[in-house]
Amino acid sequence: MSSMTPLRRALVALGIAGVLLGIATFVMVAKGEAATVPLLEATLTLLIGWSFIGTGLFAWERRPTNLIGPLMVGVGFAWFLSEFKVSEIPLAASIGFAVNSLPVAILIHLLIVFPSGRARSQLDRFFIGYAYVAGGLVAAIPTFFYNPGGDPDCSGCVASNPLLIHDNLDLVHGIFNTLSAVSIPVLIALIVHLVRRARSATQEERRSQEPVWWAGGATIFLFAAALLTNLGPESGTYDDVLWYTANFVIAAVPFAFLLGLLRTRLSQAEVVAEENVRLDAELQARLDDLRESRARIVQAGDAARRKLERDLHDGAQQRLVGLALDLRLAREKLNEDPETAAAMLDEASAELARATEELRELARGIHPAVLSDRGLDAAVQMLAQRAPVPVRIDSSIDGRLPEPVEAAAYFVVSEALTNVVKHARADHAEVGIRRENGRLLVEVRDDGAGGADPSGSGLRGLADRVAALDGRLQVNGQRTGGTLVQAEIPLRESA
Amino acid sequence: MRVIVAEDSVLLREGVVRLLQEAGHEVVAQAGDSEELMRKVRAHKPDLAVVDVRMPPTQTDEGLRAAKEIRSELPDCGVLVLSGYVEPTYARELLADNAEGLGYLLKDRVSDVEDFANAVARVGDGGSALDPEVVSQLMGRSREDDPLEELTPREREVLALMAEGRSNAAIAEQLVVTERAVEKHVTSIFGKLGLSASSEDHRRVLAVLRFLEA
Repeated sequence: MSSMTPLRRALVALGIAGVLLGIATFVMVAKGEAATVPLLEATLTLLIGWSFIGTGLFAWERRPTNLIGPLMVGVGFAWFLSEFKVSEIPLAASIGFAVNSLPVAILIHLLIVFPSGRARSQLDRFFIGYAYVAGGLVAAIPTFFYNPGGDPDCSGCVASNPLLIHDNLDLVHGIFNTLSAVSIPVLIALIVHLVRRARSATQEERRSQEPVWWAGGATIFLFAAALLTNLGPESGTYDDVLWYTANFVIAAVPFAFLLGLLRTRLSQAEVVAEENVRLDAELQARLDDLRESRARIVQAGDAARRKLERDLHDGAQQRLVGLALDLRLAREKLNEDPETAAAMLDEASAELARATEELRELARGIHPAVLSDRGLDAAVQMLAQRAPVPVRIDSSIDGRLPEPVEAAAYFVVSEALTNVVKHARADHAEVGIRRENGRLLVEVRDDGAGGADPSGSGLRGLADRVAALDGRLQVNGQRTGGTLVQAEIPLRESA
Repeated sequence: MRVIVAEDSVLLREGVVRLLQEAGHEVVAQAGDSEELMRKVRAHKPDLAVVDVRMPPTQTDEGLRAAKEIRSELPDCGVLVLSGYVEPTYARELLADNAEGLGYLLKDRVSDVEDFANAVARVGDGGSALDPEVVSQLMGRSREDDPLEELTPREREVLALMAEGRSNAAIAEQLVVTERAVEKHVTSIFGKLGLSASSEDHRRVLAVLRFLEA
């Protein structure tokens, strides 16, 4: 009956968005003319984007308070968007062009804060800030000054740029050149920073970071090799195989992040925070259950009152009204026909006895006096005595239990025995009552036909009653050879 | 017979008092709760106390406790407990090991004047009176191998009346048979149920009760 948590709902929505965006990107890249082997590049793009989003969502779900998951998902989405640059749709191409460096910026953020999700020093914050300013903002500026139609180097480009403000190819080149010139030393500094941190890592940290170093190292190595062959004497014949292999390896990087993340032991604060998230979800589900059961309890109370009202009006009250009439008639006969009057008075007496009897039964049904006076054992004995099939009682409770517990247990036995008689066609029943680990265990089993319906109003009401005391009610009617009703009720004074 | 009546409902108490007086008994005192009852019982040392189960202050089972107290303190004073409802559980508690001079009846029974007067006389005399409702509950209980099935319908009737605390003579009168016939039934019943016969009615009640409750 547990409902989906808000977090999980959001993650599912993000997953669906990721799948759709991936497919759109795949189609764009596969149809684009910029790529050498469109289908292969499209497949690689899809593979990388989806692995980041998929592993990221998983990490997010497992470590809801850690930024690593959201960052990985962010890399995946940015990766897809940046591939829009090969699209034949001008606006999509412009967007792709603008966010081209964003995946790298997020990836740098990810690398720096891995695995805790938090920046650990001022230097960390500088690098993260730089990555977003340079890769996210500055790298997007040229989009507004670049006219692909006016670029002689751009073959297979879209014809126009809808985001164009002012055609200035020199400015575009200037920004890119400056950005590269500034970024290369910063990136080298970042690498030095990360390597130094890695060398000072504790055994524990190493364990979680190792997968990332391996995957990241392999990726860098392959890209470097691809670039080097590209920069070699036969410029332009860059090694496709190496390049594609590097792309394949990138797709493995998010899995390395995920593995590393799951290897980290959680800090006390994180454990608490995550426990909170889980408890929140459980609480929500419990609240929903509670609301429903509260509504049912109110309804059951109303229904019981209605039935009581009907019983009183149609039963005892009718009899008493009739009786008043009979007495009046007997009074009139008293002088002329004393014999008939006497007979009528006898009849009235008998009727009165029946009315009293009915009221007594009604009162017992509402709440058996034995239960409040003598406790559960005596009350269950009474039920057994009145049951039309032999009932064996095995009870090991001495003394009294908290009143609500006694009442709940009593009504469980009462309802279960009523069912035995009504539906089960049983030859006998057994009632077991005992304390165990601070709980009261009540069992009623019969040897009848089984097939009790736990959602029937009687058992449903009982389940609510038991649940109101933080207990549980189980009905097993499918077992061959009878029905077993079990209730477990915590024995707390305050309920 | 000198009687004390303890009942917190004034209406019912006065009805019972009038009934008792009409039956020729002397009501020496009346009480509205168990404390007053005990005080007056000790003061008047009556032959019988007619006691309501529920009385102030707790309105639960004061009457039962007072009954036990009276029986152990004043063995010559019988106690007839009246209750708005009867349960075998209470009968078992009340008649735990001695049914002598003890009665347990539904309040409704007071309306059957003759029968009630009978029970009053019996209990005041050291006999027993158990409500037919309790007896029928005990006898009607479903059992695995029901030994009562061996009894004839007539024997069951006799058994029920015995359990109510009636003497053979009273049973004979009720069933419109001779006392001799009742004696024969009783012997047969005790034989079939494997009980040892007892001459005194209140011992007989206890034996039958124990048997029915087993």
